[in-house]
Amino acid sequence: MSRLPQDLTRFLFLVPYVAQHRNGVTVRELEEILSISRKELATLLERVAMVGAPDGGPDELVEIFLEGGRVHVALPQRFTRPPRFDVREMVALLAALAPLRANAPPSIGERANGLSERIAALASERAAAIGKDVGDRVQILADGAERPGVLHTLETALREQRAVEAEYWTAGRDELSTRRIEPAGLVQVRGAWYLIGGDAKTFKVERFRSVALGEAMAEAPDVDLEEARRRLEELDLGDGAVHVKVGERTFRWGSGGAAGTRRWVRAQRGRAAIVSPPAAKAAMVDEVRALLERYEGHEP
Amino acid sequence: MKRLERLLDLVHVLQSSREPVTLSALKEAFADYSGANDESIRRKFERDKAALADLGIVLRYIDDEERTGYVLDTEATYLPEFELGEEDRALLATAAQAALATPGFPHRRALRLALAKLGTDPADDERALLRVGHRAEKAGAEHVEALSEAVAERRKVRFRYRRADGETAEREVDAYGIFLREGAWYLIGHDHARDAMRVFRASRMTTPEVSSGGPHFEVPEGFSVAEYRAASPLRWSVHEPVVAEVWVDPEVAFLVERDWGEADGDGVFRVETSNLDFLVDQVLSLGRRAELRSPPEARARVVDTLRAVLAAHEGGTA
Repeated sequence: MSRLPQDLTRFLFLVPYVAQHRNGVTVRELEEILSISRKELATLLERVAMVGAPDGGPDELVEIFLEGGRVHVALPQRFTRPPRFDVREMVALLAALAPLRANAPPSIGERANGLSERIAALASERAAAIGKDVGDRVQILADGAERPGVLHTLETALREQRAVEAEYWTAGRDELSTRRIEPAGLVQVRGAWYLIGGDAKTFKVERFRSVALGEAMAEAPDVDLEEARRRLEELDLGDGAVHVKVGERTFRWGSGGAAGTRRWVRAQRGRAAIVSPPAAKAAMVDEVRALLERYEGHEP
Repeated sequence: MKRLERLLDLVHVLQSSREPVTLSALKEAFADYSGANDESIRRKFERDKAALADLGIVLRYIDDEERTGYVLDTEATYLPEFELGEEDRALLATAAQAALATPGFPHRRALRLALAKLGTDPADDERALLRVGHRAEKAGAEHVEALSEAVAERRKVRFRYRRADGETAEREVDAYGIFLREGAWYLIGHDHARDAMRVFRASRMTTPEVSSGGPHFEVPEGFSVAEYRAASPLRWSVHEPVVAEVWVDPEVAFLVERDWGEADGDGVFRVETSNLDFLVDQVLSLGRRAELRSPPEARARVVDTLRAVLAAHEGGTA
């Protein structure tokens, strides 16, 4: 594929972007934004260093140069704005926002929808013509089974800084219990929403059978949501990790997701097995035996 | 003069001029547009114009009583003034950061550039109540960019595919869409051998090859991955639909009602599915609280699954 469109796009972005920064922009920042190596950036700068009318004087040139590790631009009042979004940029932004548009707490979903519409209005004619179609076909999906009413109540509790009284099903223990939770935040991981409680405990929102607003809290719980998100993504690889063998390899799974681990292992249909700790393996075997007995023991 | 420089200069000239610029004037200004016959110059200029249009840079021809020539349509070309509020900015940063951290996310470069255009830094996601992460499997992530290209350009993809039951076969698919769901990337499209819509997990593909050229097909009118996938995986087209009967303890029935609808008075759901494996996984995840009652082949699949899992734990076949 020709490098031309990419270089043109980069140039048309580069000039106004650098021009907005009076002291220039570091090479490192441009490498990151343009996804380009230092050498490629130098080549690009060299190629476009003297853009202007072929028969124009030096004062009509767009001059772009590298000095002291920073890129500077001197321009005769041209190229002051970057181009509108192209197809890829529009699709990238819409895809990133998509999981917050569906099944989201109401105000988040509304904001994500509004932003998506504003972004579409900032696209080029061509991107607007084909971008929405392509955007609909490249998706990060959030399709957890959360009920909108539950999300709405949780969001209200967070905004109004109130506790909730909830009926929650703990999958690992197969236990439905009533509890009071002081909500600290909502985290979306792998398309499903989790409520983070004030004690940093996590609750999968689709497992709330009911949620009701409780009393106001004196102060908002102080919980590191980023840490909570990371732990959920890693399924909490703490001391209690479960080891699962798949083929010749063994993987560590977080003990925090015991039910999820067992579900995943079952879905491998014999291609995976829990190997340790013994209690986790025994729990899996007991569960499977009990179910086999039910299915083989009688006809429904 | 190289083409890149010529195009940039062309944009510059048209942008700088207060009046429309005629092709004759451009011929005089650009050595590249002179010398050859008029028709070949016009073709060269049209190619340049089309290349710029592909990038969203719009040249318009004006022909009225007072003026004739080309102008750069700045309104259509350049980003208009806009303002993002603090909450919009934070939400966008949160969403972008999650996408950029997702293995396989296909428009990483474009997303970075777009965020810079919006003046948003993906690290600027300091919002008290919300965090997002997608966490995709790394296996198959290397295929996603090529699959995305096939989707955007409407091209066919050929690959060797290993099904969940271990069977492998060559597939040729019209790439309608790709999506990330629960940590795995999927391609959805028309499978030529089966003459039907099918879903393929990227991690089970070997060396997908995207055909050149295109577009090679029309995407069915109204098709949207989000809408298609908004349906539960129960509706994924793996086999012909069957209706299964599943009993669920009423105490935990709320977990499946959204997907399965309402149970009858005895706690039995009638679930139509074209993806029995997924239903079996759902039923087994409810443990003793659920039982798949019919059809017999579905029960047999539950038993086969349980026996295979038991064998893996007792005999070590995993």
